[in-house]
Amino acid sequence: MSEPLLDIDGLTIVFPGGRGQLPWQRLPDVRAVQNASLTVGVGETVGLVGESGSGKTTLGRAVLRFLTPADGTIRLGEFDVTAFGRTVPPAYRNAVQVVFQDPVGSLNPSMVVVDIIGEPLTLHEGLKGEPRRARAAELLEQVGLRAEHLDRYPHEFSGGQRQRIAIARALATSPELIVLDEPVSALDVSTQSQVINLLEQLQRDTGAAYLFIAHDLAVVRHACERIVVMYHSRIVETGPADAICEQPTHPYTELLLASIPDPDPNVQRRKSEHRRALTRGATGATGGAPTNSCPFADRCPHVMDICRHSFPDQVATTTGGAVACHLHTSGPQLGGRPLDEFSGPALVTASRHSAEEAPQ
Amino acid sequence: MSTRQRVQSRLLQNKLAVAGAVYLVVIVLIAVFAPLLAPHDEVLATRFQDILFEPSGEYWLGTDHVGRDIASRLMFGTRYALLAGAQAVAVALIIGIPLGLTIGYFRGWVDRIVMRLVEAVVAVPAIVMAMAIIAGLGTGLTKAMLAVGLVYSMIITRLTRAEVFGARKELYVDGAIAAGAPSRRVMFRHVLPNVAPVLIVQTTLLFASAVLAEAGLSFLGIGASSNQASWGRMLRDAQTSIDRTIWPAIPPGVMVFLTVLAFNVFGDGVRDAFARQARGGRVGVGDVQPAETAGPAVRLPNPDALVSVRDLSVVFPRPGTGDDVQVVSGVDLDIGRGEVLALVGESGSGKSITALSLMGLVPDPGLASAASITLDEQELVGMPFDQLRRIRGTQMGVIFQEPFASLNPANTVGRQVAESLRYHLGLSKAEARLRVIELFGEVGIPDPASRVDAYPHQFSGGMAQRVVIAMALACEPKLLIADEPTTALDVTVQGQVLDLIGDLARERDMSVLLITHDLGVVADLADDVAVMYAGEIVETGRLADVFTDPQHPYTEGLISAIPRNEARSGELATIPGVVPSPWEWPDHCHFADRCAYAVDACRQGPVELAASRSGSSRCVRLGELELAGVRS
Repeated sequence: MSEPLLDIDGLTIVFPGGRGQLPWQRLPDVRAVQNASLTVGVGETVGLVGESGSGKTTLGRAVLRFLTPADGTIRLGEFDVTAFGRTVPPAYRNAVQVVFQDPVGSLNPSMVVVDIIGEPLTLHEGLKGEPRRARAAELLEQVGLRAEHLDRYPHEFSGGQRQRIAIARALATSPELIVLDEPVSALDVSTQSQVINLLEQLQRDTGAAYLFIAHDLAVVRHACERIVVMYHSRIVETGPADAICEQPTHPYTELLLASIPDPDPNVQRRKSEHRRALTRGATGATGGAPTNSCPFADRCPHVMDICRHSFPDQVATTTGGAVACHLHTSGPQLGGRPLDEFSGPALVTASRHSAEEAPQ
Repeated sequence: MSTRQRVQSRLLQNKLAVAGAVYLVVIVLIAVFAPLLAPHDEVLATRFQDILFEPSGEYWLGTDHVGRDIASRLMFGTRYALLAGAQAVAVALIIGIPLGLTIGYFRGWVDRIVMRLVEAVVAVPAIVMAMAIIAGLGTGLTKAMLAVGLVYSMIITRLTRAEVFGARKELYVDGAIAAGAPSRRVMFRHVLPNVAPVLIVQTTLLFASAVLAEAGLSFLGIGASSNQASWGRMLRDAQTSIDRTIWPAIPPGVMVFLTVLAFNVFGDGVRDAFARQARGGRVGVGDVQPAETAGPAVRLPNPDALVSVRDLSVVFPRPGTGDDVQVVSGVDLDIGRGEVLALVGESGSGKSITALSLMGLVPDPGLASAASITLDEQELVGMPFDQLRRIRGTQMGVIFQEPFASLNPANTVGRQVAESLRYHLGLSKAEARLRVIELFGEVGIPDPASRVDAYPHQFSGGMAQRVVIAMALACEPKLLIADEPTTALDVTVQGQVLDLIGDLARERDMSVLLITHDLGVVADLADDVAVMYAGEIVETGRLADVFTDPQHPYTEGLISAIPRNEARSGELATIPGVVPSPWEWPDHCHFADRCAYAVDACRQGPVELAASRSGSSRCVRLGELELAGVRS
């Protein structure tokens, strides 16, 4: 691939622990992201998938320069984001925009739409008055709303419409990259697909790249070319969207896929059996992320001794991605082959092969 | 309607606040026109022999100890009261708002230093602090009010800082920063307008407080001078003749009292008008009323079902206009014994309100009515409130979307679950505790004996939802209502919670009403499905039938829009448009405007729910259409 647009290398983000109940107590630091590397190409959509607390939103906020990483680099084109001082160059603000999950909280309730969309136009192009209004109307029409909506307040719109307004604001500076932080998870299914279709059409028109942060792997598969899976501060698997969703190489990705409920009752019955077989440990990730072991070890059906003592290096997968799992280097030595070729020792093996996708 | 219009209309509905505002307007007018209105002079006594007169035709409120007309002095006094209040409040705002904004926005060491100073000042009573400052500045009304303003600016600083603290965490502030807005712009354009309501309310209340402070300081002789007719000064003057008559003290005292009261009721009114919710829900008294006309169309309750709902409707007043709007109309539901019925639909379809009506929990000012709601052969409609509450507590359990919203953060989870056991089943403290430990074990909480003493924040989302499930199951309900029980949970945890609900329902032969928008969750758990759109049931049937062979275009749309884990081909299917607001629902088929199959007949009048191949459907073209179900 040619030079990527966004290049994140070895990113580590640490939140200092707060004070304890006594003045001299310090809570341990929280490692939200550890040694994460990913790239987004020009005009590409990369999905960043993980559960709450996986660090995916934190990673997105680092790209937006809302926080300073402890280690690693973020580059976007000419910009070395990690080298910025206290003030972020306006050109960078132009180049990277954001759409948040919550369509209620992300629009200032005391501003009308023309001011919300017009703000970046004023700040970056110095547009005022009628030209600004005309450009805002143009952007509004681009996202499927009408110029007559310009003078309304955010609370007069439905969730999907508000998300369209947020997208129009993000487009105002013609950005090269838009960080989409769970852009559809607060919307109804029917509206979800409307917004995803809109985002794709806008990408074809503007050529903007998307970093699509979401927890729903099925949504991400539809919207993205490549997927990055995070678990509890670590990137555990990356690869082409279809490969990840058909032939996962990391046990967590496999569990994630088995957990997406399917509307076909017959398929879902098989899937939930498969999911039960893969489930170990009753809870999701809790507590601080470990530095020296695989964070998924406590829930992994294939856990080995080594998993509790070191975090594995990334291995290239045969499907064109990369995986960080000891199954590929130690023990069964999968060497990047998909998990369904795995036949080694496992704590839970029941019904693995009875639980594939529905027969076509 | 803009926020300003909404606040104005709410404020006008508050009679007390309007009365306060009218009084204040009158006061302002008197202050402006005092020289014209007052029959006598402010300072000079008319005739020295008229000392300490009783009220009369010439002196409406009598005269004071040097023969000055009290009524005239009261009128001039309004000037000092308002001017003093304005001075103090202006000083407080000019210093307090920028300071509070800055330290609240940037935090850091400046914040820490300023806040210690603020705390030190606020710790001392305001009037004492003001007197200390006056000792440095010298006496006189303006200097006194400057001192009061300085003290009040600490209050404004602290309040602004606290509000900014919350407001700067809002996503739109992040959005503005990402859009490249400089800090000053973010503070004044995005943060300040959204903390303004609180500051406006506080300003009104401070005004009242400043009027009182002026009176106090002038009474002590360090405010208004002897030739300024301030109310406080008048009280001080009345003191000199207190051995002869108390009358001169009464009019200024009453004025101070009324003015402070007017500011306070007006301030309270403004605060209520800004509040997001005008009224709190009267939870528990929204019981279901009998439907007015039980026409012949109403089907009889199904005796085999555990729950049978007939002709349930819910009416809410439309925001702004107050007209009655039907948000749920004519809903019939049957939940079989030990079965799971899923009620599905987009947000705004009325599915949650329907479930709340079953429990008699329609939030005020909504009104639910039904021809009949039976639970295990008991008729709930028209049942006395106490009896209904008992049934709700013992025979129904409920799980909501947000587990932490259902748990009191200040109490251990064990005590919260034990509460209903002790209240409804009359168990002793020790018995209840043992039962809770048992319940925790049943819902899969590891190490239940020690976890009962933990607080909600010590649980993950999935574990907290298990606690809520244990709470719902505590009294062995016959019906469990689960309103989006897994929407707030991670997908890998969601499956475990669904399994748990399914297993518990099977073990206990308990019926479940599952409310969700996620058809995948429905497929995982449900036996029967009822699809709701815009306040009406549009399709019912067994899960497998409805999903593989839908009989209503809306069901087909929902099924096709759900993203599945499969390779992508072309654009994602959508249902165009959005669910309209209840007051926009047409008389004909509610779905017609979004339906790809709509014909003229669909817009001709109400459509009834009719028997279909596999259940029932509310579609004019029932039987004509070949609709696609889930592809397998």
